[in-house]
Amino acid sequence: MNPDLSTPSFHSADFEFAQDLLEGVSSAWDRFASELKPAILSRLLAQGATNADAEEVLGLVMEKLWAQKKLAAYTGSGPLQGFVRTMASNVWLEYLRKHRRMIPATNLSREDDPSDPMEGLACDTASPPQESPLAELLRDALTHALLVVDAEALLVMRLSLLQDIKQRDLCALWGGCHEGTISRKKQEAMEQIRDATLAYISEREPTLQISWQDLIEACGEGAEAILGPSV
Amino acid sequence: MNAEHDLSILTSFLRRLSPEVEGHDAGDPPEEVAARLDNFATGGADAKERASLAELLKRHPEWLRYLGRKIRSNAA
Repeated sequence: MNPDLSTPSFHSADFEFAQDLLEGVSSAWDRFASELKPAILSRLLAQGATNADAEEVLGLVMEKLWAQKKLAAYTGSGPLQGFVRTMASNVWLEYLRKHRRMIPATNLSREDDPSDPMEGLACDTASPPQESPLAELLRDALTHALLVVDAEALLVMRLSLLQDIKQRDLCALWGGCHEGTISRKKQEAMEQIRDATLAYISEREPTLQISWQDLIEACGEGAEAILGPSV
Repeated sequence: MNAEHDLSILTSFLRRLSPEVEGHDAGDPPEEVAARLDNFATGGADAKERASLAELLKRHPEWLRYLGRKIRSNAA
């Protein structure tokens, strides 16, 4: 993958670091151990992993980055740390889902449920494992949040931030309101999106303790880790 | 939280995953909708109409670019 050198946010030093890691340069591996491993571990611990889980997931992250060459998807469009931390969040989510499925057979029979527990297992295993469960979870959460956010606040925010409509023009469209009203609506919309997104994730994945900061990193600087290089 | 920064990131992310959600310009809206958006873009919509259009655009974000263009051309 050739990096886009014309992009002003191209992280050339991180990109070279990643290339060195892929080529197995030992000084790069030392640097990985001293800089990126702690960043991965602290992210995992913050997202609810125990020390033992974090160490195990770290091993799985390393396996993905090198054995499966997922690091090759990194193009330097954001800091490498964001990429590997997002990769770690994704692997942690896979890990949580996998372990949640490993329920002892005796726990599958419920007195009030006459159905065959094996049928339940068959249904469960019928869903193929997702390549990037974190990306899908974030997409579903954000799509849900956009549906529940106040429509007018969302419109103000989109017009202002995505369509570059000036604040004073928005005031004119909203019956000559004060600029502060427009600013408040934008802030309100973003806060509603944040709260609804995190609430959705917390309901769907109660053990994944993802913060808004993590989520923004996963959707931005770390997106290549879960979506592959952008075209 | 920086609303502008965050929204821009989330929008790019959703465009890559679900283009229909934050997506592409689907061309001009139907005539009746275009007339309502044109009216809104000139500041002619009252509170009830604004609320109604906001709900409509929430379901059809693909028409936002049309509205943005109209507002900008009126403001110029």
